[in-house]
Amino acid sequence: MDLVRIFRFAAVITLLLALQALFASGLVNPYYVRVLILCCFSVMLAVSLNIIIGYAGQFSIGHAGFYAVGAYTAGAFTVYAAPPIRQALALDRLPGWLEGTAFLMAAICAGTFFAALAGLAVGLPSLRLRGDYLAIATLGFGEMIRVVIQNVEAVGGPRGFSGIPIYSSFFWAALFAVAMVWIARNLARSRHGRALLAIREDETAASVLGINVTKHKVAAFVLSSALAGCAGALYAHYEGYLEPRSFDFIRSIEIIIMVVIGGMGSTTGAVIAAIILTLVPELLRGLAEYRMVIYSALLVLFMLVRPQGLFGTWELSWETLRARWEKRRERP
Amino acid sequence: MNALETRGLTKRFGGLVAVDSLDLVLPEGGLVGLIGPNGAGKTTVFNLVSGLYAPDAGSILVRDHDLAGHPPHEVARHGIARTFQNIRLFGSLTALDNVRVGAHMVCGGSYLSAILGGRQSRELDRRSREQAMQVLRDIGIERYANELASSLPYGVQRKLEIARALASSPSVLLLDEPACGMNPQETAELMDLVARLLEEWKLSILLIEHDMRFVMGICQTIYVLDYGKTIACGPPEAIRNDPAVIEAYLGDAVH
Repeated sequence: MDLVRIFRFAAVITLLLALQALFASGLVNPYYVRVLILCCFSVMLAVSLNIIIGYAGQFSIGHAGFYAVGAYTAGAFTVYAAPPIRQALALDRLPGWLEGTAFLMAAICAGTFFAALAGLAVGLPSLRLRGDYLAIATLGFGEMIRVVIQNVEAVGGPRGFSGIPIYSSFFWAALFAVAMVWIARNLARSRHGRALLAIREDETAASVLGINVTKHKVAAFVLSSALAGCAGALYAHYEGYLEPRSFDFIRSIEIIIMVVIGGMGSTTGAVIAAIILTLVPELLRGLAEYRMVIYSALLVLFMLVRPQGLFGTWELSWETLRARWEKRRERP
Repeated sequence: MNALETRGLTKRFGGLVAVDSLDLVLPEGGLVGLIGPNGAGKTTVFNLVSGLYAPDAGSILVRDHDLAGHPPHEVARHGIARTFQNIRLFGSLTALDNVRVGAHMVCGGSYLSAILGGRQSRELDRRSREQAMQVLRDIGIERYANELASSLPYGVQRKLEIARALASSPSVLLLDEPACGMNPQETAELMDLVARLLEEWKLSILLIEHDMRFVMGICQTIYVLDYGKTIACGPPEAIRNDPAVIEAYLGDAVH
């Protein structure tokens, strides 16, 4: 059984490395590669937000804030902390790619940790209460973090934070996107994931079954924030340049739209919707100034036709496919 | 030893005393009924015992622990499970998953192992599925296992709520009007089920019910509440003939 898992892991790594080699060779239009990488970031954000909105049913509208915490912490780490570490440990002797990877991992750890910490600070007071307090608190947090960043000169303030070394690539973005999908799926299949679904459905009934509602909500929120921070760290080292405007309220709403369109509670839906909603604006580029009008109209139309989202709460897995097939066979 | 005991349990809502110093004893393996006219405070007693309300005074003793004022999830850890008068299932989960949520406490498995899909977590997941299936089989609703809870027939929903409570392996079960809305045949089945819960599951049961044939037929002791006060307490025969009870239910025109 575990051999199967190791084999699967190796297969994913090999596939991603092969694609990375192909993209690095320059045979594929760099614009397509860039769009593909942006899709990976959208997938990470949508899948992580789905944990708190879709699974736990708590509305968070400041996801871009946690993304920003991860991105700026990771960026600041490599810009300010990495050079002294390099000197102290004499890392210059290492080959460049290995050094880059080591710093990328350290930066991801830093970004993830601080985003998780921010998640705890926002979630703990607001999730103890019932109702929409989380929505208000996260809205405030999202705006606050942007304003703070704009006023910190060390990370460029309103001009943006440039000069972050580019350590990330298609391989890392895709690998972490896959890892986050895997984490979300594992959570959904465990008792902790089911506890979240129970909380979404009925907090009172969940609590009398021995589920510590506050603890589970906060844990889900911290996990969701941590994953967003991880995505931010990768983004910082992919773009090499961060600006406060790309982490504003609109960005948070974009991520929410991905979760809603995909079907709240479905990781499959979050992935597909993230990819579609990243591709559609790119495909509509030909329409120039009408682009965003058409895009918005498409969203409205979609919600009218399919309010439960693409997949509802349905998940793609061997079990659900088998169940569907058996049902079809029963019905002659 | 008593499975559950309340001493002087009191709950006020503003000026209204919903439960007025209730002294209730549920013996180990016993079946105690709680009856009274609408608004007598029966469900408030359940909400106090299960931790949804904090009492204003009094104690709730479960195996020498005073659980008064403890949050619901801690009360549940002491083996108290309940159902609700207005069924509160997890509507968009399957019947099987409802029961698996019920088994949350007894499942085990750390968060880290869960999100990393560790071997331990997967093993526990498989086992919890089997255990939940077993509970559904015991209650006789296993053929609905993969149906969404919200789409089930009413009688099955009531049974599923009991199954979900049982999955947490409680020692005390609080049933809030389990026969409400059931036809006579379903009520008879339910009486059999309650008898089995006492014998096979070794539970102690506290029951709120309006169906007098149900209550008088199976309860060993009955407490009658009216406006929060205990107006009578004793075996079914005594309650049936108690003048205070007759007055509370029918008004004093009987005299």
